[in-house]
Amino acid sequence: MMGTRQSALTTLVIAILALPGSPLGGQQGDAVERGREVASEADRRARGFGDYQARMEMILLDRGGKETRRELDLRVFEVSLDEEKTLVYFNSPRDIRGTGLLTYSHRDRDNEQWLYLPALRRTKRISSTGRSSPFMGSEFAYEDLVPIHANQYEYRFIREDELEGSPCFVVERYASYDGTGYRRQQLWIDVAEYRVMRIDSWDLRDRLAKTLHLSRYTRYLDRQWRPGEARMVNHLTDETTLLRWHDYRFDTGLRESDFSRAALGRVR
Amino acid sequence: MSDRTLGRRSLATALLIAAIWLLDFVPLRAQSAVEFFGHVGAEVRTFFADPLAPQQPRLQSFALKFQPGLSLALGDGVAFSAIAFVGLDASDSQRSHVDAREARVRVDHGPIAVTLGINTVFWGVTESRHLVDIINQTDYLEDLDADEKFGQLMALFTYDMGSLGLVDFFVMSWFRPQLYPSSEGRPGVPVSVRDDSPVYESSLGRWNPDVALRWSHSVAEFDWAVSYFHGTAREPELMPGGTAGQAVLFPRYNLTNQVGLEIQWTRGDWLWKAESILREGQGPLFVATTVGFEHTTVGVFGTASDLGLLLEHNYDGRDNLTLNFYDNDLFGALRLSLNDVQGSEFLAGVLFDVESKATFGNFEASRRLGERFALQLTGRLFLASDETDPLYWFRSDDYLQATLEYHF
Repeated sequence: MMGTRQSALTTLVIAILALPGSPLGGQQGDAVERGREVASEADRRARGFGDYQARMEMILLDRGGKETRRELDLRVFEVSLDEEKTLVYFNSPRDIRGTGLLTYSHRDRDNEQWLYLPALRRTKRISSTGRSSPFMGSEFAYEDLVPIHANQYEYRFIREDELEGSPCFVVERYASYDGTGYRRQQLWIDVAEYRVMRIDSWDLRDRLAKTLHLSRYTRYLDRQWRPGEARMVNHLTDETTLLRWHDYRFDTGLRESDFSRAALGRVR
Repeated sequence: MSDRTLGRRSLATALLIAAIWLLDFVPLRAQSAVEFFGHVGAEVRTFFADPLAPQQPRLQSFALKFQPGLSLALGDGVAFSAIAFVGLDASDSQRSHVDAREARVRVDHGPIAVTLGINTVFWGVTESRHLVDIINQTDYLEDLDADEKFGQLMALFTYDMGSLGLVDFFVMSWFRPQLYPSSEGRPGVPVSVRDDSPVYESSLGRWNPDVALRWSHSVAEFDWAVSYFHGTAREPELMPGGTAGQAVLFPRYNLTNQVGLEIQWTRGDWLWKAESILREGQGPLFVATTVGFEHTTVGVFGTASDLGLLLEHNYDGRDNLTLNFYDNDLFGALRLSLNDVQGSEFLAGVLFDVESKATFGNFEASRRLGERFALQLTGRLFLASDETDPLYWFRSDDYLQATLEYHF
């Protein structure tokens, strides 16, 4: 008897909370809706670039202040609003020089990835589920670097806040893809240009694990904002990785065929 | 030591010295259209048992290797690249050798690419055996793992059909015969193989024109390729010869036709793989197959490491054991990648012959030291009691190898 009554009561409470007109349910729904709107707008503004190339420099700083540098070449091609092809090519460390990573990222399904190993002249299709693994021993995980569509997350608007004097939206996101290393992430997106300025990431045990600061934004093609530097701080290990982009070039005449499996082994 | 091997070793020594000397003058990693790259390495092998032949090194052998490369942009869509290999072995004169892994011009024009010259190409998806891979001769002198290859002279036409996949058409000549260790080499073969006097079925000998065609494609979770090869087989048959007191083997290279199939299904953390060939021309028509999977566990033991489990089965329908290492073999391996700054990796694997019970054990560890040095440790175990298994040749040659490389 008691049990039935209690569950009936619970059902009633849930029904009230979920009612569109009720103050509580409405706020929740609004937060989800507004969070998605902000993220989609940021996503939308970062698209429509066609293609670009950049040189990347990665600087790994350990607790003792020791520096390790890596150089990468980046090429990105926008196939459509739903599909993007990315080619990352390693110039250093020199023992893996010529290694290439080709990624096809899709809006509604898993990415496809191929790795080219120059010592073996072998192109290997690899699993794209290792998203939480560190990239090249850095503080960046693959999921921090590989493009992931806004609709691979669920969102919640948290608040409006200020970051170094600029008004920002703070939006929390929850990955809906498999293999993420994060329970949740908070994105700081500036109100003026919808640029991601900072990302706080909590690990699966809900500890604040990493903070990413994006800075030195420059505008290209009159509308494309790109960061010049990204600083990832790991709060659990006290180690930092700096990522710097140099020589951004847009509309470089890259073709989709420059992102084929054959082209992957050709990059030199 | 014959004049031939003496000459080869002096040439290798001269080239190695010249190359190291030149390195001092070459601006490393020039920002211009020319780029230099490669590595120099020193290698020590330590054997666990006395050799079977008295002339083989007893406990240790030493080797140096040098692999310089250069790439050069010659203009819009035209590029030249070259990679040379120079090896110098303290005990095995055969292993002191020079090779052009690559020396070719590539012209890209839209979806079409033409490559002319010496080139190295890899086909395949499986790990324990490179079954369909037939374009280049394998350089077993450098390593038994079949990852090193001799450069092959070719004209390669590639047509990228976009959503219909990729077609490669090869015309090859100047065949590269298999090279075998000398009698001082370790791991060694117990009889002398006259690799300087190969027997060809083709009346044109090593100049026989070989052709190959391959169509490869990738759609969603599947990658596959179908290939056809016609020409001189890369794997020789070893024919007994010589006098009663001095047994020697002569490599014989037949003309063959081979159809190859490769397929990989990439599903979540699983890679399912299969390779199969149908080959005609080396005795009766036969089929060989390698099937298996690779599963990766990300962030194993609560660390950033990835642990891979590899299992494969090899079948080969040939009866002739001089060619057949993989008649009915199981392969299992574990691969641990620490995902650290030094890129540390460990691999331990076993290839087990279900019929002869012969077992090949392989251990590899590698780690970057600083930004330019890399250290590799390799261990090999040959456990065979069946005299008919090819592994029996190496039964006393278990070794541990350390290689230090400098990359520029």
